[in-house]
Amino acid sequence: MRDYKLVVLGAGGVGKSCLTVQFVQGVYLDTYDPTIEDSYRKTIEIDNKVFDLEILDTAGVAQFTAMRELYIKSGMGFLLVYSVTDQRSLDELMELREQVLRIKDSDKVPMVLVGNKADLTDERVISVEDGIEISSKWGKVPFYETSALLRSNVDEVFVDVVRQIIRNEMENVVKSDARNQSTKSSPSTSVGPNGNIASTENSKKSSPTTDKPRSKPLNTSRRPTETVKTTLPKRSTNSPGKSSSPVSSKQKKKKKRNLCVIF
Amino acid sequence: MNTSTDNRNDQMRPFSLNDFRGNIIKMKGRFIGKVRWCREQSPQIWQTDCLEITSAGALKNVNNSVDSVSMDNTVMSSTSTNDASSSSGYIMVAHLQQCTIKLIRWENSIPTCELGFGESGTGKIYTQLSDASKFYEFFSALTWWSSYRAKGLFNKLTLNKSECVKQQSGEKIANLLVCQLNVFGPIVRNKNIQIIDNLEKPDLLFKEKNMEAWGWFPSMGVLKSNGTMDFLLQNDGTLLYSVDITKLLRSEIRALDYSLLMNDSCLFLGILSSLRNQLSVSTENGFFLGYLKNRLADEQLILRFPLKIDQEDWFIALKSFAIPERFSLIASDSSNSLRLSNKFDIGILEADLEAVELDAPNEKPAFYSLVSMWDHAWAKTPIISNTKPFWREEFNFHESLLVESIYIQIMQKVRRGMDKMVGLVKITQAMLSDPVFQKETRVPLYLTSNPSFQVGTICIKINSTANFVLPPTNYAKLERFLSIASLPKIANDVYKVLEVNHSLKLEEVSSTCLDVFQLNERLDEWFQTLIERELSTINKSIYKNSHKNLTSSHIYNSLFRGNSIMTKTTEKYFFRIGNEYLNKSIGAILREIIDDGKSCEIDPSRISKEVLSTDSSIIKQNRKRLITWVKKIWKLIYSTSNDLPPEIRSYLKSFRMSLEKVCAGDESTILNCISGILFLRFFCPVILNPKLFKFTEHHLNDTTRRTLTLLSKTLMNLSTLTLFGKKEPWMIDINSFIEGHKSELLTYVDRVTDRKLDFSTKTLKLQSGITRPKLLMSNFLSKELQSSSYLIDKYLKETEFIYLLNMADNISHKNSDNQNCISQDLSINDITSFLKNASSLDQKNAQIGELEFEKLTENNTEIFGKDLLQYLVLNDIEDDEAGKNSRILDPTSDEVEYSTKQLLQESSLLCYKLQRLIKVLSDYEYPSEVILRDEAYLSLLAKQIYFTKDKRIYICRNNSLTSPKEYFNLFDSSLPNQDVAPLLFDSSSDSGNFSIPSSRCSGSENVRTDGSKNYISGNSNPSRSLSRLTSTKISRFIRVGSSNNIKGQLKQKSDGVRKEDYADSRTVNNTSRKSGMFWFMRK
Repeated sequence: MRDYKLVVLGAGGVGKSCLTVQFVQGVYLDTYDPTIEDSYRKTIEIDNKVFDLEILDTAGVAQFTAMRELYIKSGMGFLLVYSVTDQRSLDELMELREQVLRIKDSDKVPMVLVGNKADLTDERVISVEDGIEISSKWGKVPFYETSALLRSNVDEVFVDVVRQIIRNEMENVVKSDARNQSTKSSPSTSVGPNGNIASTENSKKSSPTTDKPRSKPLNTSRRPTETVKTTLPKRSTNSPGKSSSPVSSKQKKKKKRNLCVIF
Repeated sequence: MNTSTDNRNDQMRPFSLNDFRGNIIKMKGRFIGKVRWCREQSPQIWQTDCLEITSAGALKNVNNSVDSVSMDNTVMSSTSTNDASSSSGYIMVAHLQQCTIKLIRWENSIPTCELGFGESGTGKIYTQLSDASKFYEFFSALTWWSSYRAKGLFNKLTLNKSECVKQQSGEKIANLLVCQLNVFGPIVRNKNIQIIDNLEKPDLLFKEKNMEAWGWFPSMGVLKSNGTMDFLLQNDGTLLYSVDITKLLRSEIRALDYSLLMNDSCLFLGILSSLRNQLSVSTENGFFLGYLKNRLADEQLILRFPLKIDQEDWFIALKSFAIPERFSLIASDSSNSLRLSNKFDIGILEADLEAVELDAPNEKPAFYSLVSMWDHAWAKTPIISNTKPFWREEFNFHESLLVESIYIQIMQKVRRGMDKMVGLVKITQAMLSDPVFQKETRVPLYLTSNPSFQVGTICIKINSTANFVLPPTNYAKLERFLSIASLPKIANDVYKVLEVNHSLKLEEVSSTCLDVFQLNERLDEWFQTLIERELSTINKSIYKNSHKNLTSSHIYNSLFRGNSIMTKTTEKYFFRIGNEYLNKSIGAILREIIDDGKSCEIDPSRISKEVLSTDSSIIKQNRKRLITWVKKIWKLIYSTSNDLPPEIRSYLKSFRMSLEKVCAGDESTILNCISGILFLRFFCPVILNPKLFKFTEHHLNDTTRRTLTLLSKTLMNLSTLTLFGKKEPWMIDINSFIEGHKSELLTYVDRVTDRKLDFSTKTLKLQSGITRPKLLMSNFLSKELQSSSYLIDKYLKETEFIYLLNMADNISHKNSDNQNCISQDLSINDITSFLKNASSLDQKNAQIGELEFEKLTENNTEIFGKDLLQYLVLNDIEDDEAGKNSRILDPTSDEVEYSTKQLLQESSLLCYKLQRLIKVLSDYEYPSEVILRDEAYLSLLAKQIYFTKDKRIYICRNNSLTSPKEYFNLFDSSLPNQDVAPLLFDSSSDSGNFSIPSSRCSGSENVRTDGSKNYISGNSNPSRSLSRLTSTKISRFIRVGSSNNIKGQLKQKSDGVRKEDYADSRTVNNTSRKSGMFWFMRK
């Protein structure tokens, strides 16, 4: 069983905890409860494999960001969350992503871009297109709009990050294999041929893995924004905010597919 | 060469001071005449042409156009003004400013002149004149232009004595500040000094390692009004030694970073040789007085003050007497100078040192890093035993000069002997402003012994801002408007700018506003404005939701949770005001918890199964420990409610009142919001990470980090009265603590928001309660320096603020794209562009200047005209007084509106002025017409002309910093016939055995060593009354003398100036600088 560490990052009040708790426990939080640092464990099954996730839910308040470097160092996959009702929260992510890449010292860090509070249609200031634009600017980082309240796309974002970690690991294995092979076969050759071998091996072996997890999102053709908006039930006083019965969440799961905005 | 002495006396009549003055005044710094010249010495292709030195400082060959014999004054003036005739020649040297002059060979007793020009002094022209008086004319003109400075803003560095020193001449010397302190300095023998052994020695600060005669000792420091500081023995008051602060540059008085001596109230004073070398300032004269004068290798001291506020007061007071580093032109008004604010933060995150070779492979190596500048270390990271040390330290620097190179040194701790440097990174000024380094960047580390061998990498991050700041006078008007202007309107503008300009950082904008309003005493109103603004937008959404029958609980639940101007400003303000309170209330308990180091883990999944199975009560024990700690912390917070600084309490009070208007009756939301400020942003961050707030030296280990995390979680939930539940079930057992302290919390919140009277006694001794000894000092302090409380650089902040307002203004009048580039242009990110290039800058600015000009109204004149600036300076004090007294307590709405408008206009004018000054200072320096006519200035200049043994001419702007031994005054006053300058032109000295009688300049003068380098000027020897006048004062003197009724001429002049300005920007745009030459002094 593999142990993966995920870190949820984003500005204050964007719903990081709501998203995480909804994923881990299927509960919607409706309290004024700023997070300082919460950690959760959850076991999930992906492609018939079991994974043990440790999810670190972090503080959005800038005063705590001194801890961020530590979180980033220990994390393997990242959820960068903003609120579609707050332009600043998206702006803050720009810096955050940069920081993650720099500290991880890699261009390929497993991460997803998450626009939360998608159900708040009246207060929305960031459109789906804005999110897509950012995601493509970031080199097609997978992008989802979520609603922790309606539990839409919640599981998907976490699963996506885990898949990216798996893929990354496999590629690394392939790379090191290639390196080992090449060093065995031609110990005298320089870096050039080694790199070539690695890259070809890479594309061969990683293509099935890239296709497989992506197949689902790719099949659901992206719908125009109008559909996305209209299919969203509005947040109302009657809305079962605190309900967590498995039935209702399953029902919502069916609905949420329309909401999927993925590359 | 073969001229005899007798010959010389016949043919070469002596060159006198009057000749020099007369030549300049007659020719206005120009020359025209027949000259034999060649370009290189070796080809010896000499030709005779008619050469002209123009009024723009160019050397021209005008051979065909004029006959040199018929030259007289009338022809001179016609050639210079008539474009046709002057364009007929060709330019040999475009700019003679800062040229070098050397006399090399004598023929018929007239020397050959070697003229060096160009940026690096590479171009050389040799000239010979047949006639002695013509030669003196030529020589005068060359010297005149040589005294002006070449292009490049940083070439215009001017080092004058501080105004604070001048004020004091003639008055009785008074003691300004007295304080008991500890000094690290030379130990005076045969005095009964008690050496303190238990203080850490600042080894890192001193180059010299032979420090036996140095040590820490207690002393009484006395700062006197003449700028000297005495160190007295504490028990009997005998003088140990004194130092002359006026000999130091402001950059040589430095507040020491906490990391060096684990103390935040130390100051460094002393000569920084490599800084002075960078500025080409001599280091010969130290600042020690008395018998220690010139006897120490390191003229440096460290002062350790008992309290932080003492250090702040002394820092400002000492700096007031030191030499400010300013950029200005000769004889320009003091309000037309600029100062550089070169701020940068260097963050050192981590390093990878696995390739470092270890001497003892079995030992775990320990590393730390040093940040050094000018051969001194100014900051240090803690020592970490790991080949991949993680430091996450940030060090702040605020310099007033360019920094040539900063080094980050990685040091390996060695058990015995000196620590070993294992790697080095050099950071240049250009790198500081490079956007690449604004994010975490891995930089290769090289071996010091072998620079091509990479030993690892270091991850650094640099934040830097560079600004030019005008002298205080310029901001008087702005401040007056600012005191009345409508804050909601300003807030609107600030929010708008932030929305449009994504490159601006919320944090910086918030801190600019905070500082500006705090210093202008409108902070309470500003906070009120921000709170109301953020609540009103929320209010709208709530209203809409309730209209649609939707819930707004999500809005209430995220109130003041995100990062906005309001929350950022509050965070910063609370910590600034409350830092000391936090340290004194909960600092000790936090250190105790860290020292204790026992686990308080209550999450069973984080405890290994083995431990759990062997000790079933472990969670219970841990919980007990956790609750004991949290109870202690809470008790400390609760019992010191009355010590919480009054500023914070009054903020919370008005915050609560605003909240009650919006969420009437919703007590829990109100509580949440207050806790969201006071606990989430004030208490909890410190509890979670005491290291960040310098409460501890080292980062926490995993166990204590976890303990403090659990503690702050508990406290946070108590503050919002939220019970733990589904989120983390293992925390549920803590709920009894929250329930048990519910009523205490409510009382506490009522007390700190002034809802209930607070009868609890004050238990902490906070420095805010101590009154500062300001009475005597205030007149002496330089207005330009940081405001002493919290050391905010007021005028820098106001400069940032005007940029901000100007950006807002540009957004609202989005007429053309060109206007927008003003704001971008002004935020000087790339400081290095000012190092050399003036041309690219010129073009850009000229365009903007033209457009911007049309927007200006009559108020310009009050800022722009040089004459009017003068007027402003004279009324400086008056202005200030008026500003304070006329502060309208209850302004009418009309007044508010008017001031708001004026504020915006004023800020755009100031931006414009800044830009103009930057442009002018970046260009070549040109003489003003007033100066050309002024004998006093010319006499002053003449006294600053020196020559060396090899007959090189140096012009030393008056200054007090150096005493060149090998330089001789051209017109030596110590000789009987003092106005004559025979020595330089004495051909007999050409042999090399040039002996000078006791004519060495007794004054302390500076030397320009290289044409491309900066040179400095300041006040010279006090014995010479004239040279004591600065050029500024002279120009004022002239002005007052020549125009008796300045006021009457104001309008007239200003109109003239405006037209000139316009014409100027035009001509510059056409790349003909000629007519813009005297822009700033024209009448």
